[in-house]
Amino acid sequence: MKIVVTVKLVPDPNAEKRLDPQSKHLVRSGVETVLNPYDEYALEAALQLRERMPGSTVTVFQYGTEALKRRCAKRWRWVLTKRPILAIRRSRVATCGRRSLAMSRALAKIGFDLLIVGGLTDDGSTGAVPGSLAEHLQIPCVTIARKVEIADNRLSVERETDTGYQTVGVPLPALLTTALTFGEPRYASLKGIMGAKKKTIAALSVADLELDAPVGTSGSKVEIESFAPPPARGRGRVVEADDGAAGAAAIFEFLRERGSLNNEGRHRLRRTPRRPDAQSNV
Amino acid sequence: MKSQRRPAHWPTHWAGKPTPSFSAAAHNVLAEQLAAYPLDVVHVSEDSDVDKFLLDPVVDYVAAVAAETGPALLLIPNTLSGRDVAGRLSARLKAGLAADVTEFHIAGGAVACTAPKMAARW
Repeated sequence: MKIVVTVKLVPDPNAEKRLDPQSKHLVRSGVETVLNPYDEYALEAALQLRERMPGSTVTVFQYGTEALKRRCAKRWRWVLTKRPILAIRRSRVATCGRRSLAMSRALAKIGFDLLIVGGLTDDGSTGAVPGSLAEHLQIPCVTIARKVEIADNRLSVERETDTGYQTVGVPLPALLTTALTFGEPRYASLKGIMGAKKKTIAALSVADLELDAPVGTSGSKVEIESFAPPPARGRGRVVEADDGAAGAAAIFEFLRERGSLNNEGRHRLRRTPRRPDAQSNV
Repeated sequence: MKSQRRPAHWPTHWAGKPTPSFSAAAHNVLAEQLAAYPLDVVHVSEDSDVDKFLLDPVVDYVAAVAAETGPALLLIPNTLSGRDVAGRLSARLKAGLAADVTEFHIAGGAVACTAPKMAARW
């Protein structure tokens, strides 16, 4: 089985971020980059499946510039089994729509039985790329997979939904995104790191992809108009109370003033949807 | 696909006006709940696969409704499945996509959105 994993380098979540006032995009040079945390789980899933399916290969695909190619060479060549990493060179920053079209063309050229994609990226976080890729490639898309069984060219996938778990069957080729419960991503083995230098990285250029519109921002329907740092939070109000009951009354009064209580004096509970990044430290 | 269209003589501005009622689709609980809102049209899928929480029929259905009605803007909740549906619809409908939107307004034939990026932290 040929497994392809898409990966992306993202700025270190803990690093100071800057936006370029001209291009209105994130400044990526000079910022420490890490493998997108969600992609680590996608890679782990691919490696687990390769172990279970002898004769399978894992190809890592990265959409990025020449500089990124050199950087990724250092970072995750160890995961490969004689298969090259493929990378696209791109001219300008792309938004997710154009990016996923370009990626889908490249992935169609590479060919795969199973495409594993991180559910989100840590920088753009639209979460739209997996779905768009599946649409462009005309393959089934199963997201947030936590367990996968393969038999007779078919996957049985247990996935997380908004309300619980669901098991779906899907024929190959298919696209899978991994849940953060799939398994803890492994560290590179010493042997893997030593053998990494011998592996080559193949590259596709944008011209190979037969696209009818530019890949960069000029082909995008979404334009970044402006950006601003989040508004600074003011200092909270400190309530000094003699005892717990007085403190509770003060808090109750505060909530009532804000209109956070309903007619019965109960807090309006806001249902916050569970997000795939709920367990990450982002 | 079943649509309940608001009678033509109703004012387009809904404030303080009667809300649409349901007849044929009244069995659908969600549609009934939606009837309490000042909506012009509610589309109800009669495809039972949608009830099985499969996303393919949802994407197909919304795409079909979009093709029929030609909306300028599709708003999709930011749930796990909403994200999936949004990504797929944006590719299928060749529409631009903005995620995690907290505010938006329409200006000059475009929609201007505000969304937190980098976990609103940099």
